[in-house]
Amino acid sequence: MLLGVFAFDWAFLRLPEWGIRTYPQSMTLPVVLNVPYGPLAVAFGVLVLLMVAAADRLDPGKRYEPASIARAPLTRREWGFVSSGILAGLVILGATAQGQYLGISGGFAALTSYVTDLFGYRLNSVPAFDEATAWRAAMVAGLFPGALASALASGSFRHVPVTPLWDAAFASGLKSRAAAVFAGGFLIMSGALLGGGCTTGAFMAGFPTLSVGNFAMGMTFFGVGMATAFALYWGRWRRLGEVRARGLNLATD
Amino acid sequence: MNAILGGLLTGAAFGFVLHRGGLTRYSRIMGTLLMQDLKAMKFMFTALAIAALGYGLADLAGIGALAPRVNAYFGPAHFVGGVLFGVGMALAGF
Repeated sequence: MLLGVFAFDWAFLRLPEWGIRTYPQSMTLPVVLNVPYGPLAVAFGVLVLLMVAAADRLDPGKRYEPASIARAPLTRREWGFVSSGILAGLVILGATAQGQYLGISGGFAALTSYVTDLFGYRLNSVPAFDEATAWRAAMVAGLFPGALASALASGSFRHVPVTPLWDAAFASGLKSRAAAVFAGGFLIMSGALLGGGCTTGAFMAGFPTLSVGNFAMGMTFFGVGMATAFALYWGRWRRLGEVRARGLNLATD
Repeated sequence: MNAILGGLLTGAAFGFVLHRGGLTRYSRIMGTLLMQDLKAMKFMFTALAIAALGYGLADLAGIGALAPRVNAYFGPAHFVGGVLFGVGMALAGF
């Protein structure tokens, strides 16, 4: 991911010249459609919730959830998508209430620039530090301790070098997984910085603002992500079900 | 100092929720991309719907403090970045 930050930073100054990153302009769905933001955002939110309800009825993944999980105490088990999704939405709103913006890839770049600044170098894309860069860098620094707290509190903190599904689908152990994570991390970070956000900044926090750029980015990466996933799992389609049927949980996956 | 503390706490809360929601699990992410387990997708859409409702209602009520910063549109970079990100997401599964 660090390499991704530096690759983007090298390209950053050259992007206008290549013509793929024009001067940023404000373009949102309300502006394009010429309607006020408030009602459109509420309508969008309601529509998405209806879509989630429909997806929940059709979700083939639910058959892998053993009933015993639902009876485990809340402190120990994985939470459902309703409670955890609502909490994540509130965190996004909380960031806005602080006058900030929840975006992990941008925060990662900010944090990187703070670290390289210790050695006398600042990223081209994060040349100056203000309150917003400090907040974003601190936010990214807080992510891992937060997840670790959840893992420790649920007693699910384990060292799992190769996730079971990868092992079952590709049966090739640590080397291939490490290579995929390395390449994936590089592509994720450079792609997110180039495209203006990651799953958090462009999708979860970006879609509610009805930003056209975020819509373009989010739809592209989910489309390409699905196509790549189907290509990777070509002929291994049923492995996911087989592995999940063995009973994976927060600790083992 | 306030910005750093606020950022740390917000990040920790978000990391906690992501882990608890199962979003750190490889099989959840691949399940969503392969359309076999939609939990990660449902989680993300629920979160963004809540945020959209919050922003929209705040806008209707005239609460300026909850007006979101809107990301700019900068042309083909979104699609180029999206392709790189999509391949990376499916390879790494996070």
